[in-house]
Amino acid sequence: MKLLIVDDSLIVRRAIERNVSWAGFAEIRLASNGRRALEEYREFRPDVVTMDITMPEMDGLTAVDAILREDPAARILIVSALADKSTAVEAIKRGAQGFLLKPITPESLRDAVAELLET
Amino acid sequence: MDEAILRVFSVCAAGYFTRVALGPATVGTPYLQSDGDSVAADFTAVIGITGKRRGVVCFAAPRALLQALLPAMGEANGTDALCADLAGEIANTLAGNARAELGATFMISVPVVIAAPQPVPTFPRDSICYVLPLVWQGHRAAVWVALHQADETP
Repeated sequence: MKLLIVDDSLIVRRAIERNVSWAGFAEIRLASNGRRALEEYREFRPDVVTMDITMPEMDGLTAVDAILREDPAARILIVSALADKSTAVEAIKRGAQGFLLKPITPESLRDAVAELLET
Repeated sequence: MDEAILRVFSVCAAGYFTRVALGPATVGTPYLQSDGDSVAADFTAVIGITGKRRGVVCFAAPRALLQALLPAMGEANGTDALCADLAGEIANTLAGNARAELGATFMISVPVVIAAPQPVPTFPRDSICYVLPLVWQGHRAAVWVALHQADETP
């Protein structure tokens, strides 16, 4: 299995990478904005994507739309600080499989990724 | 700007440190920025706000606080680049979490992080800015909130 982590914060990207070691991803790639995520997705074809929303160049929801247009089976977990319900609902409507609110903890990330892998 | 908004940011700031830092922060009583106050800190992360409310939310912290917090994020080294990244992520998280109460019309920008001695932003002359002082493990930081309704003159 392969994982793509998308977040404009290096600390968050590395925290997610460290805290999914239990899942046994064979390869993990990192991207710092939605545009880079789309490029990586095309080349890398990950099994799972974690996606921030508020990012420069291309936001996460736009990237979700673009990825799902190319691969409707993409499994995407939104990891965002945007805590209003309408954003979470909008993300799910667009096709994301889950929504994890920041700040994340190792436990909250594990639960969200485990749930995504079961789908 | 009403008291309820300041309470939202106070709760978000306290909640961040409780959840991430394995130890609570004490958020003090907000006070009005006076002319002599400066947002100056080693690292100041600025979030622009648009939508029904306009203005900025800043998180200003000394290097020592950020270096003490980085290990809780799994980072062993407290480089300036990581301190700046963390300040930006904290500001982003506080402003984003505030949308639970303020709604999706509280639109936030990506953070811009200013490291001393670069000049810090100046608020519009007539804008009202509140400071929420914060202490975590003896380190002092602050959340600055300067907002006005979009249909009001700042």
